[in-house]
Amino acid sequence: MFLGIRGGVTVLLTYTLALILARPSNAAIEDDLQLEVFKYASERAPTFYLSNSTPYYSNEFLGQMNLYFESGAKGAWSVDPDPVRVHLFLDDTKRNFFWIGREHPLNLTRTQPVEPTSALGNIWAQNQLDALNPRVSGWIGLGLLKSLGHTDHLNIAYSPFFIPTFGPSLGFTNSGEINPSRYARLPPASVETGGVTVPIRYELHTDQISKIVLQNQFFAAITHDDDTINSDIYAYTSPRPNPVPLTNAKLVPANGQVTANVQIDAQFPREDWAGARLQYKPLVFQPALEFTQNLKQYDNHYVSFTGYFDSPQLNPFVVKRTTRASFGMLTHFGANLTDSDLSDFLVFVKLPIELTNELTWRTLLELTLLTQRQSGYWLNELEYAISKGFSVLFAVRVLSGVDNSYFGDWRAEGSYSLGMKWVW
Amino acid sequence: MGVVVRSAVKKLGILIILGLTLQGCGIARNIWDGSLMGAGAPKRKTVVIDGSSPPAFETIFSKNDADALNTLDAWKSNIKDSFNQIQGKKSAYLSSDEIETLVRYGFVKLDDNTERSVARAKCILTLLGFRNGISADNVDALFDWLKTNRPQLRDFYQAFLADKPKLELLFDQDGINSQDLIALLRAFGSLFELGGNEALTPTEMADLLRPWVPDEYPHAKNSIESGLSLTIGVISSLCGDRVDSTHWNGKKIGTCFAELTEHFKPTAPVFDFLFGRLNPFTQKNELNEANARLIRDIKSWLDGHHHPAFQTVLVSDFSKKLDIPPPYNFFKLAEWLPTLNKASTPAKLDPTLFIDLGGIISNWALNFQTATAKENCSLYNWRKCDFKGDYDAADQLYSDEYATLIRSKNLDYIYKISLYDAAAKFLLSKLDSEREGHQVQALVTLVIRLLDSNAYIYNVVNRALEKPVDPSSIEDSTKNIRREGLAELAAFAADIVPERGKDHQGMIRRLARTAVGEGETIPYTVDRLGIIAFLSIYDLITNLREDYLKKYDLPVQVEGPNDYVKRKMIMEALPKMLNDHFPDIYQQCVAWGFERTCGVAYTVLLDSPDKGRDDLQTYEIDFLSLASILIESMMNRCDQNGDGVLESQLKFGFDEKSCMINLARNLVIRLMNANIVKPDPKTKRLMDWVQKIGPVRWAGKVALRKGTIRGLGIQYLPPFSLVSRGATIGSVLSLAAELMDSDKVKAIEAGVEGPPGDPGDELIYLGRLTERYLPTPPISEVYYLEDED
Repeated sequence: MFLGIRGGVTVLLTYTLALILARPSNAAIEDDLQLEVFKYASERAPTFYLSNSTPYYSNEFLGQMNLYFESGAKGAWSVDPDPVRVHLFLDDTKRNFFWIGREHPLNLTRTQPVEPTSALGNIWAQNQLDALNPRVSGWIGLGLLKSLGHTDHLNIAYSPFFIPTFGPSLGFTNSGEINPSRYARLPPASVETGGVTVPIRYELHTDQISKIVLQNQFFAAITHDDDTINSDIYAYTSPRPNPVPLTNAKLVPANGQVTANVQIDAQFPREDWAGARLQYKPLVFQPALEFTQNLKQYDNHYVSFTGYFDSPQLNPFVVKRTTRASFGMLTHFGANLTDSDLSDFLVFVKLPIELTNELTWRTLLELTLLTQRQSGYWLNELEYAISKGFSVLFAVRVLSGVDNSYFGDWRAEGSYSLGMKWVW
Repeated sequence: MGVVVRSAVKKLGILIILGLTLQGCGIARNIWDGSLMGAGAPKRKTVVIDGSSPPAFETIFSKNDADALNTLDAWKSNIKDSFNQIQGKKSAYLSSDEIETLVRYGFVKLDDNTERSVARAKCILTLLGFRNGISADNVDALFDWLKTNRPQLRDFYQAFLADKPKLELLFDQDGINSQDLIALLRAFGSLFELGGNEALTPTEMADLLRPWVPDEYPHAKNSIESGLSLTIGVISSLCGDRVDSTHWNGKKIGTCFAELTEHFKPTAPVFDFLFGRLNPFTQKNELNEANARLIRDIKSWLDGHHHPAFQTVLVSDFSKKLDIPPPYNFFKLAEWLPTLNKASTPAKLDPTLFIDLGGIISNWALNFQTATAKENCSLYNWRKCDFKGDYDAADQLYSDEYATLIRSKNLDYIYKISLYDAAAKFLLSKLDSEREGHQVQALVTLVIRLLDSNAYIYNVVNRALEKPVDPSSIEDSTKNIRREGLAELAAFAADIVPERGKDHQGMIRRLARTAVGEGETIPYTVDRLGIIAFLSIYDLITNLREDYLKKYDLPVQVEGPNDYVKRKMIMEALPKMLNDHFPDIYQQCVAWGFERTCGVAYTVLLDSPDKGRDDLQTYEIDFLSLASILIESMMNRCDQNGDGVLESQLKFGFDEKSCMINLARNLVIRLMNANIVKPDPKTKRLMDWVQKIGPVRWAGKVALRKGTIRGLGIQYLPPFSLVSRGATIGSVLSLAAELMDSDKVKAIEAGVEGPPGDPGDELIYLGRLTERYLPTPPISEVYYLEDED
């Protein structure tokens, strides 16, 4: 949380600075506010959500402030400005520029933003506070986009600040117990040794915040974009966004009880990755295939495939808006991973369908199919536009899965919700 | 038709949708609450840590040194790691409360029952002196101790596992020696020194130890406290005021043991000699030096420290708690204490007894070294070397006519005679032989019985294990009477076995003069040679018994503290026993008819005291050996010229046949007093007449020669009787058989089955023994049938 506040304040200042620096000509600002009330299967009391996204963009500046709030004892909140960037164009073509701010460098050259379901998005730092709708986070720093011809660009970025993946908190207390957020993945509750089971008490140790945050990250890519192909080859170095916990456990007999006191030392070891993505536009689904490889651990690699298509028109009387559907697959292969991961052979379909001019049905189905880690998430949402800029929402979210699977850990968190949405 | 079909389809459709809906509701519910693939919210994980277990702890005491040391290191590492993995209030230290918590949780399991497990842990910590807690350094020290003392502990552990009876290991040449005992004492001493200065009363210690005893053993549980009091009493007497006289203080006991072993280390060669594991020839100087200082060292150990007397009531208290009879022989012996040790009473054993015992041991070694001063034997089994020198007592007691298969005049024989000599010297220094002579026999018998009988130990062990015990009080058992009878015969043998030179004639005259009433005990010669003989004979008949059981495969049945062997099997082996160990008797019996002579005599001697049983206790076999020794010895003593025939010679004033008659009379009376032969007033009267009345004596002499009292005729009158031919062992036995059981003799002579007797008696009829069990063929002539006069 402290990390979030500090990061947020830093970027807020950057945002403000950017606003001051950016010329207001051709500036535009929007706001997307959603209020929802959820009823979870695991609780009787309703839970309230507020999310707000405020993009602001001009020729020289792009910024988006993301606000997220969940009520209740398991609630969490975040203020996350991402992306935020100021462009310093190097010529009139506006194809060569420096940027400073916060961004994923490949968002500048790809036809679609980097998604968590892609190979690169999966290993990149994310904002996972809304666990079922994670977002790939940008680096805070500066970058350069330099054209190398009509279709190619050199895309490099540097960040002196490392922000780890921001996810649901475990809420360690002084007594070593946890007070977790809703979608926090809970650590083991007990340890069995010698036939005896004792509860675990946790104590979190981290290095000094400055030591964690002030770490250099470098990114470089060659991108290509023409009528047929959009591709990039890249390499980068950065601390691992999800911490590796080093644990030191001791049995503590005290006051007639024995507990296992586990000290967790969160480490963010440096990783070096390389990858490539190729999207072939002429094909019907404009498929994009991506591969990433850890340069130090040769058994650590990911591959993803994403296809895009237009949503089917079920109602011929609907005035069609551009609504893109997608489907895909993400998997790792090779080494066994210790924790459940989205890349446990994920297949997904995202399908928005306009049923009427006012009513839109969005369905998202995600399944992890790795043997003994099968799980699924199915979102069905209906949005009814009452007026321009105002709509009501109804959604059902179903989660299921075996123990120790990605969605299975949250299988008791199925919900239905009602909400309102304003866009202006 | 179309409408009907549409309607049907519609209905079917509704039914399908309804069915799916209903089914779907169930599925939907499962999906909703997350139980489609798993029930509800997943449980939080439990991490399982499989520690590597070290090998079994007992491997530390195995013979393979490499395995043992690896196991020791593994255990040490395992326990030290545990210290690193457990965080107590103090670093590298676990308090007793913390240990108790860990035991309650089951991290340390000393019993399936939690409370007992906790109590056992407390016991171990307290006994080791770590009542308040234990540190990693303490663990280091304990394992270092284990490593240092592992060889000694291993030897004892292996010995404990071995099949051999445990006590025998003390005397086995390849078994435990004094160095091992010293090392073990030192080891445990150093163990206790590691701990704190904890003093526990027997009650406190019993409370600690009781959890180790399963509930199925209530007697053992009940007797722990008194057993501990007994142990503390022994240690207190041994260590004096170096330890607490009423408390168990491990550290002080450890220090005492360490001091004790250090103090007596120079005298260790004497103890090695005691257990037969020192070669007194190759290590002569060590033995001499050690022996020279033994008494001095015992005194210096006792001096300067108050050593309380050992209270014998502790033994009776212990017996009471165990609900077993107290050790009869022990308390009977205690009655002798004031005589043997002025500072002791029957209730208190004064530690100066150690000086007395030390004196006996020291004299033993000295006797041996004096006797073997000119001998030499460098063999490992030096006791098997022949003895070529002179040792008066040994010479007088040794006979090369019987028991030569198991006894020869070797260093082992001298070794034993030296001990008996030392014991005799001690007894004679304490007792007035004139007044107390007859009691010496009882005392020595007590000592032998104490060493021989394991009834008390058997009862202690069995009661502790909740097995049946032998509840009989030894005082009133018929077995006790039989054992006393054995002592009677042994006492008689002690008189006549030694070759006393010219003095034996005086001894015969003394025996002849003895007027014996009903049931009176006849005293034996209380001199040094007599006591040595008594002890030696007991040793010999015990060795003979062991040889019989082993050599002739006589199966032994164990019932409680007693061993039994089938009487019939003894009778079947009788010819072989006599042939191997008493060849003169065997040959004479065969010449006179084995069944008629040895058969009858020995069946009477081996009469079963417990009618209704077909077996005898193994010690009853001793009567067989003792009687044989007596017969041989009587012949030796009376056969002046050694020609194997007893003549009525009047030369030198010594009548061989009269000698035999006197000794035979003595023997018969002792046999009757011991209930070995049924007391018969007529026979006693006859014995008296034979001795005192001339014509009856003459008849007796003829009967001796003829081997029967029938058909004596004119031969018994002088001068015929004076010049009648000599008697032999065969004729003596023939006559003895007739006197002991004439019914049996008549049946044998008639060639018919005799009167029913004990199992095995049937073998003496119809020539069965001769036919089936003689190791050598019989001589064709039978003397007694001939009338040679």
